[in-house]
Amino acid sequence: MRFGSMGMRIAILAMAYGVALLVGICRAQDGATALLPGRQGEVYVGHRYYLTKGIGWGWIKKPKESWSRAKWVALKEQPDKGLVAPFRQLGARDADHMHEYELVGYFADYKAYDPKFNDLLPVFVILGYKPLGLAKKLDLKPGSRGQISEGTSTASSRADRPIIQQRGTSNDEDE
Amino acid sequence: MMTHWMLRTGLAALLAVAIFPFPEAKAGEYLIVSGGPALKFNEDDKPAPHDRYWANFIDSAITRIAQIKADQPGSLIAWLVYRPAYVERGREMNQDLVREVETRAAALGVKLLWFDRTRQLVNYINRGQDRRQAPIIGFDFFGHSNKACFMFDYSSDVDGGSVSFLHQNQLTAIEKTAFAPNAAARSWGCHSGESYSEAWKKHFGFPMMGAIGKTDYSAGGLPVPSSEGGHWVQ
Repeated sequence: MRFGSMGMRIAILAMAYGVALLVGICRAQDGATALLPGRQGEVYVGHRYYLTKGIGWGWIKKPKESWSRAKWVALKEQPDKGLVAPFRQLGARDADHMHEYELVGYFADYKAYDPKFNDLLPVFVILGYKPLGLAKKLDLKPGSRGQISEGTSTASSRADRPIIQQRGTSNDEDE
Repeated sequence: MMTHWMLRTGLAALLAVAIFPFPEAKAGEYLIVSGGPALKFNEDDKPAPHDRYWANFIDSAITRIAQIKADQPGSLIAWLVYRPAYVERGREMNQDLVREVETRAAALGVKLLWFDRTRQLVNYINRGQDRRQAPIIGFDFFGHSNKACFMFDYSSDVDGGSVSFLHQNQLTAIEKTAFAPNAAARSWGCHSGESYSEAWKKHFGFPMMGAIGKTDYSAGGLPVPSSEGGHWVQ
């Protein structure tokens, strides 16, 4: 049995696809559509916005909604199923700062506490994504109520990297 | 003569018991609460990863339970542990951490109660025993915290965040009468002494000892303040 034969290749591809379906590893990337047995996600648009602190991933809205209706969200990943944030595959947490994505997923029925900003964020369960490229800065402030203001970092090697100063109660501490 | 001797002996015995009472369990229940560890997936690329060791909040709780057992033999103790974080970390480590915790609890002879939601913990505090007969006389929390919140999970479900927590604003969900008036409470987590302790005393009427600054579990046993100038307050 030759490994390189056409029949064998087709068989291996079919088996791999079947295994992927069975274990639910159908991550959407490079334009693929997200598929996951069980709960199906809906399509959203996400604007990644990296902060050095806090759990916010960025803003998410429905495709036809205005960005003014977007939610500042935390992302729920499932690494055991290969369902992870796009930056995980880019090598750095800030690698996709200001990039936009077509996201497939749904909002969890619970919220996440952000200990850095004493904030409560909606949780988006990511099932897949398709990169849409670099986007313009949105006229939005991070935080569930847009309460996180930014300043220019003096500590970062990148001068345009935001640092966070929260108005009111600060919980800018380690846990 | 015999009656006189018996009376003297009896009085002496009563006096001895009054001065040197036998170690006796106090009437009430001790609650030990353990949060869970982060996922390495979420922490390993950070400059200061949390929870490299999965059992920080288990080992420290065991130390505290052993202390209580030694000081107050026969005490009623309940150990409440946040299960989902151990399930997830165990999945990541390919190890059954739930069974590991259960084994340790059995070896210690302590009642272990898993909880998956904050509401379950609050329910146990309020009604896990008849609190008129067995009020809570001691409360210890081992887990992640900031100054305003106990986090039963941290960086497990959501990277850097918590989905199961008891914020100081939620303390009103706990009935004051669940605790004995002279109960002792302590948070062994970071920063609790900077705000949570005050909210605790305001709600329950008795103090909760907490840390100014961070606490460090890495040496094993009970954690110690680790920030410069860090200390315990109540």
